[in-house]
Amino acid sequence: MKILPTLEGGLCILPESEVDWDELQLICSDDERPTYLAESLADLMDDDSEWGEYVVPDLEEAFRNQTQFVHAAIKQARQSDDPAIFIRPVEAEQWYGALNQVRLSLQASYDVEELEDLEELNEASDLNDWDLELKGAYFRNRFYLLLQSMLLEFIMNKAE
Amino acid sequence: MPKTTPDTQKKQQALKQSDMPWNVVVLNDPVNLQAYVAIVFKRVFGYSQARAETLMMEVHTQGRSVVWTGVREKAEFYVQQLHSWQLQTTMEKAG
Repeated sequence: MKILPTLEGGLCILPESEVDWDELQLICSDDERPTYLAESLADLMDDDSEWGEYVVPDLEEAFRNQTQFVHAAIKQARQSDDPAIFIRPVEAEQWYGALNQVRLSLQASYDVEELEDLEELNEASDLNDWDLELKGAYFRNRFYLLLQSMLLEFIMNKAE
Repeated sequence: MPKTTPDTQKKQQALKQSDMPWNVVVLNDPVNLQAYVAIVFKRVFGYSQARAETLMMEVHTQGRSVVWTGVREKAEFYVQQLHSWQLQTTMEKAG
């Protein structure tokens, strides 16, 4: 897969295999993720705030819009004759948000931040020894992190 | 004869509570990128780059940062904004 900045100030993702497309589609694989995230943020507030009643539905809708937007963009690009995904500057925040959701979810499920620690990697000594699911989570998190970093560097930071 | 009824006293106490300043507190998390957190502070509060980076580093190094203090309604508004940017945020009474 290649990710390139465009002359229009956006990014272009060029998947090169079915695995690449699958990695991208996993960004939007979990319908429950927006609900879980909105509720976990509400847990930080005290009960008196009635956050769950008044704020969570709006947050959930906003998070769901992000994943649905990205899902539609990937699906449309995969079906087109020229299978490339273009992220325009105005779309960067939707993409960033959807990627953040999946990274928060991977962190909650696999504690991938711990795996990023070099010492942990050394202790593991050989990635091949890792559980397949854990290895998948680790590499997916790395890929989504890279894409987020590029969104920040080439689009979102420049908009400031 | 008392100057105020118990009901009035309760209302005054509630008003006093809502007038108390509240802190908006952002908590550290292992997912949100530092540059992103600084961008969010600039967008939500209109802070300068320097101020946003100072607060972001406070979150990163101390685990939390009071990013704004003021009346409860506005604090709730800011928390909602920060939640929509997926930052772990809560609020607490100041002082």
